[in-house]
Amino acid sequence: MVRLEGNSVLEFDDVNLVRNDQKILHNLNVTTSEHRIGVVGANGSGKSSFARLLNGLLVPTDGSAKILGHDVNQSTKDVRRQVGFVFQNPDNQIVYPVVSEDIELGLKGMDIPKAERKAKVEEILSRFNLLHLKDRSVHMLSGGEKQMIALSSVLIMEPKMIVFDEPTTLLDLRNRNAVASTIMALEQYVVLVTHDLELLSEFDRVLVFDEGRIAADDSPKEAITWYKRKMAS
Amino acid sequence: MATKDIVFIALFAAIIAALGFLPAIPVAGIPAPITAQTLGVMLAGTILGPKRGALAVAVFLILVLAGLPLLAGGRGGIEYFVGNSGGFLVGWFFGAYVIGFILKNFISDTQINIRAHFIILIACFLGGICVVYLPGILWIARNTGSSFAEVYLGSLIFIPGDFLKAIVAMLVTVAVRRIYPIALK
Amino acid sequence: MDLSFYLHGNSILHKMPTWSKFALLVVFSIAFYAIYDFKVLIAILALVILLVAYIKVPLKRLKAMFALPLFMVVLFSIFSFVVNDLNAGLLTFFRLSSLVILAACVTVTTKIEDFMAFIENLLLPLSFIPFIKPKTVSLTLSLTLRFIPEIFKLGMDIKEAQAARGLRSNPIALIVPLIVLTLKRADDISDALDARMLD
Repeated sequence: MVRLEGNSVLEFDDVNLVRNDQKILHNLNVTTSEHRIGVVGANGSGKSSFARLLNGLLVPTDGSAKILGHDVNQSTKDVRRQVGFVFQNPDNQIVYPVVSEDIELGLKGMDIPKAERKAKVEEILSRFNLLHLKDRSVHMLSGGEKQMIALSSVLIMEPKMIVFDEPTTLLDLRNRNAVASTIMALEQYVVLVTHDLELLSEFDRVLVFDEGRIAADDSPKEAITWYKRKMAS
Repeated sequence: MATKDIVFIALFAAIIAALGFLPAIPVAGIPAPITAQTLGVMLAGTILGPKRGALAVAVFLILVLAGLPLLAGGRGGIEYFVGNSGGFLVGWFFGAYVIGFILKNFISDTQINIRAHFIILIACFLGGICVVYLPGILWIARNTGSSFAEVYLGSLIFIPGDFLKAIVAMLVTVAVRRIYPIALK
Repeated sequence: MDLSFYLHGNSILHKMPTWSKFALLVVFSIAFYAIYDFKVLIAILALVILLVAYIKVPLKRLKAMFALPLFMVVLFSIFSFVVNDLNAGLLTFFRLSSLVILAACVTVTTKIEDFMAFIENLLLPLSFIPFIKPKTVSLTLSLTLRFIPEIFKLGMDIKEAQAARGLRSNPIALIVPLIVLTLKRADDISDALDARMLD
C-alpha cells in the first residue's frame, strides 16, 4: 500500500463539537501522519466522538477536520469511502442474518456484478480462515467470530484507514489476542480507541483525551504513563 | 426516512415477532391465555407513532406472508392470510396507525400525566380493538356467509382479553416513554 | 431457531415462479366464492389433497402444517352452520379448507429469498414513495430477521435476571426493559449502517 507522502492523515484545526447543547470536544488541534494512532481516555472524555468525526458519522460544529486530505464537512462521502469503522459491539454492526450477505452489503452500493461480489466475499473470508462461516446465521457465531466478520465487512471495501472503537472490550482473552494481531497486521492507517492499554504498546503515537481535550500526545510509553498517573490521582 | 427510522421499524417488527415466541400470559378469569403478540402491535403504535408503527407491523406481516413461523405459536405462511385470521392480520396494520395517530395528536412527547394515561388507553382500545376487529369481522362474515352482527356477537368473548392487553399496553407505554422517549412519527 | 417451513423438492410447484403461484392463489380465492356446486367443491378439495401428496409433504410435517388452520376452518364452518344453515356451513368448510391447504402448499414450496425478491418486485411500481425503495425494503426485512433471535435471547436473559433476583414473572417487567434495551441499540445500529452504506 502506498502511504501519503508528505501529507497528513488527520488534520484537525480548532475543531469544536456540540451535541444536544453539550460541548463534547473543545478546540482540537492535531495533525498526524503516523501509521497507527492510539486513543485513550476515561468514559465521557470525548474519544468516541473523536472517532466518529474520522469517518463523518459526526461533523465538527466549527473548525475544520481533514481526513486523508478530504474535509469532513464538505466531502463526507469521500471520507466515508476511504475510512472504515469497526464498532465495539459487532452485534450492532452486523445487519444481515447470514454472514456472506452481511459482508456483501457495502459492495451492493457500488456497481459490481454479483459474481464478482461473491468472489470478493470468499476471498476476504479465506484471508482470515473464516470461509467455513460463509453461510452461517450470524446469531450462532461466537463474539470473536462476530468481531472478525465485522472487520471483514469493513476490509472488503478496501479503505485506506480503519477506525476501531473499543473493538476488544467484549471479547475473551483468546479472541482479544486474535483481533489484536489482526489489527497489527493491517497495512491500512489505523486509529484505535481503547481501554486496553497493552494493545497500544507497538503503536506509533497515542493521544490521551480528557474532558473533550487532548491532554497528552506522545509515544505510547510516555502517553500511557501520563494517563495512568492521571487516572490514579 | 432517515436510517434511524428504518432501524426503529425493523427492530420493532422483530420485537413483535419475539413477543410471539415468549410464553403466553395466563390471565385469571379468561379461558385462553393471551399472547403478547397483539400487545406488540399496540406498542408499535404507541412507541413509534403512526407511520413507523404501521410500517413495523407491515414488515412483520410480510415476513409472516413469506412463510416465516413468526405468528404466536410458531405459525406463518399465506394460509393464515387467506384463512379466517386474515382480516385481523390486515387490521393490525391499520390499528397500529390509528393508535399512533391518536397519541401523536393528543399527548406531548415529554409529559406523561393522568390525562396521557387515559388517552393512551383509549387509543389502544380504539385502534387495537375496534380498528383491528372491523376487517377481521368483515372477513369472517364473508368466509362463512354470515352477517356482520352475528360474527360481531361471536367475537365478543375475545374482548375482555383484548381490553386487558390495552391496559398492559398503556402501562408498558408509560414506562418506556419515561425511560426512553422517542418523538412519535 | 429454525425460521423456515421450506420443503426441498422438485415438483412443478417448486419450479413455478413465485408470482405465478400467488396469481393462482388469488384467482382461486376469488373463484371459490362463485362455486356453489358441492360436486365441484369436493373434486377441488380432492385435487388439493392430491397436491399435498404430490409435493411429498412428509407425514410427520402434516400435523404442524394443517392441524391449526384446519381446526380453525372447522370451527368457523360450525359457526356458519349455527348462525345460518347446514348448506352454508358445508360451503364454508369446502371452500376454506381447499384454500388453506393450497396456500400451505405454496408456502412450503417457496423459498423465503424467492418470496422476498417477489415482494421487492411487487413494490417496484411504488418506489416513488421514499420508504418503499426496493433496496430499503430488503434492508428492513433483513434487519428484522437479523434481530429476531437477538431480541428473543434478550427476553430470556431478562427473565433469568429477574428470576435470579427472586422476582415473579410479570409481563410488564419483562416487556419494558426488552423494548428499552432494544431501542437503545438503534443509535449504534444506524451509525453502523451509515458507516457501511456508501450512498
